[in-house]
Amino acid sequence: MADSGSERSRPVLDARAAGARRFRDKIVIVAGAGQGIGRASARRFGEEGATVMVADIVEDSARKVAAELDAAGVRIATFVGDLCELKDCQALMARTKEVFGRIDVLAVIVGGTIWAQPFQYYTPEQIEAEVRRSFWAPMWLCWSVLPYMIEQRAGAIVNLATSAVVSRYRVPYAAAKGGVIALSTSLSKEVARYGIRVNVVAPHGTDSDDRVIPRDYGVTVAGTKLPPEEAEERDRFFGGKGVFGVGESVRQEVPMGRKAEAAEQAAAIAFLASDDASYITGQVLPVTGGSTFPF
Amino acid sequence: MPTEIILDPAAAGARRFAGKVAIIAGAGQGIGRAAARRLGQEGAAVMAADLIEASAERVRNELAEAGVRAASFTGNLSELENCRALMARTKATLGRIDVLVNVVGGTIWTQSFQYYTPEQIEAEIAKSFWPPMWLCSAVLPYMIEQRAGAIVNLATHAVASRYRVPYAAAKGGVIALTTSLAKELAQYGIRVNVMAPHATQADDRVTPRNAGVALAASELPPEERAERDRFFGDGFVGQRRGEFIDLEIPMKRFSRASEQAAAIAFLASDDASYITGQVLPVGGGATYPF
Repeated sequence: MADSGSERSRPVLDARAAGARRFRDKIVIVAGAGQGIGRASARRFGEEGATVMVADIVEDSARKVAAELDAAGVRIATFVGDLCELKDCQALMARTKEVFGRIDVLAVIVGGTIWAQPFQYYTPEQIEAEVRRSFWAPMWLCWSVLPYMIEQRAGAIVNLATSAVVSRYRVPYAAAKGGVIALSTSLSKEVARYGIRVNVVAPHGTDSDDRVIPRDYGVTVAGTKLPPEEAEERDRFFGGKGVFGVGESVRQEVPMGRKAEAAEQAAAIAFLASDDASYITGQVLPVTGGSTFPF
Repeated sequence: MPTEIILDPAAAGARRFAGKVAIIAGAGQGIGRAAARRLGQEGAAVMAADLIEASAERVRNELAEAGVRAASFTGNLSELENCRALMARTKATLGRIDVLVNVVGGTIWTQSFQYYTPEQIEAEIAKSFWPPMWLCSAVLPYMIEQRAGAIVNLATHAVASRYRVPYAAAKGGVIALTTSLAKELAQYGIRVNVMAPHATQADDRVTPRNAGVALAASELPPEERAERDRFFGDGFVGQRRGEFIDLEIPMKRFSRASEQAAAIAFLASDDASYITGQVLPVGGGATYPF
């Protein structure tokens, strides 16, 4: 590679990019950028030349990611808010437009199951909390960004689904993500005429060693006390107590027999957000170590 | 370094295939040639294989002029022995096989199923089903020994369209070949995926769809022919705009071969290191049934 010295003295945020600069001059919003797949996506977009709006519900997380991008020479801004709320989503878009002038890419990472238990143990309040987090965030974010992208006659949206749509212990989250898939596939048909693409990455279990924010952050609803045998079976499935490790889920469902790295999910998100996917819209890309995806 | 020749600007500077060896089966024109250019642009050493010697040579030469390490192979990849010879030659000249891209295939005729003769159906299957089957079979010993490799097969949106039932059935088979093979090979670090294009512009097409096929076309009743021609534009996908573009494709345009190549490169690269057994439709927003 003929890298002319100065350019490459900056820290490498994601070596997988292999020198690509597909997002040079592009403005990218990463919603839920504070840790895990969101942080990995922010790093990948930044590595490839994007200007990144780092949005998260937790201020410390947003600042930390912004600082690491900034140290690598990436143009950044941060936004802190609850993206399950429409007004915060609208504020995010307005702020991005104001600071950076346009919105080329929206990556919606916000979401994730709060609890893991059989459906009958979910309380109605828990179910509402799951749907609020994993369904409404993409719905409001997509709706809020559309006026900007339609005016530009250009844009790319990547939503996240999950392999949990065919797994166990996360029925409300699965239902929310099934809704996100249909949101994406049907929206894509409407906005193709404006040059806007909408796609979905569907991850399986992904390592997020950088997770500091608990799954129930900001949730005031109490957890359920499971019968011991129910809790044990669940923990065998996930390979840990209250965490998602390498358990039966990975052994039964994932031919590769391992969890994903967050950077592997980010690589797929970056592909769909980039012009490399210029003829791809309304599709679901499973990043699942070979497990079968039903949509 | 040679090269201010840019084979594919969409790579945007990426070198994901530096040090890798890639076979493009059916590299002579269209999506195959575009895939050879994209992988070459990203640093791969490329074996350009095609049925037509002049086409394979042309692509090898244009890659070599851009500084890509390139070789060519000519043979009918519907035949197992030729697929095996391709693998052996690649191993001998380029040292290993990291990526196999199977672009060979494509419908020969377009007509309603009842107008296909048995011989035509067999010819369609020979062209679109057997090359991926034999190519996958032939490459496996090398990739299993390496404990690494990535295979990309091609399907088509014609699996949910009209006038190409034998071709569609062949490609449905290629999808199942891929998804089931992926489950077996994950343990060896080998990934197998499918890219499913919709109509793609191939301005560089010089080899006719019936190259090497000795069979006569069917006589179609005039009204059948007229209806088909309205659907495709002129009876063949990819040349002139027909009804199917508006019926099936929200983006309402053909794809460029380089757009298909970008998806092939993604699936063949380490960017897809956690993706195997999947179908990636590149169809301008058309709904894909698999």
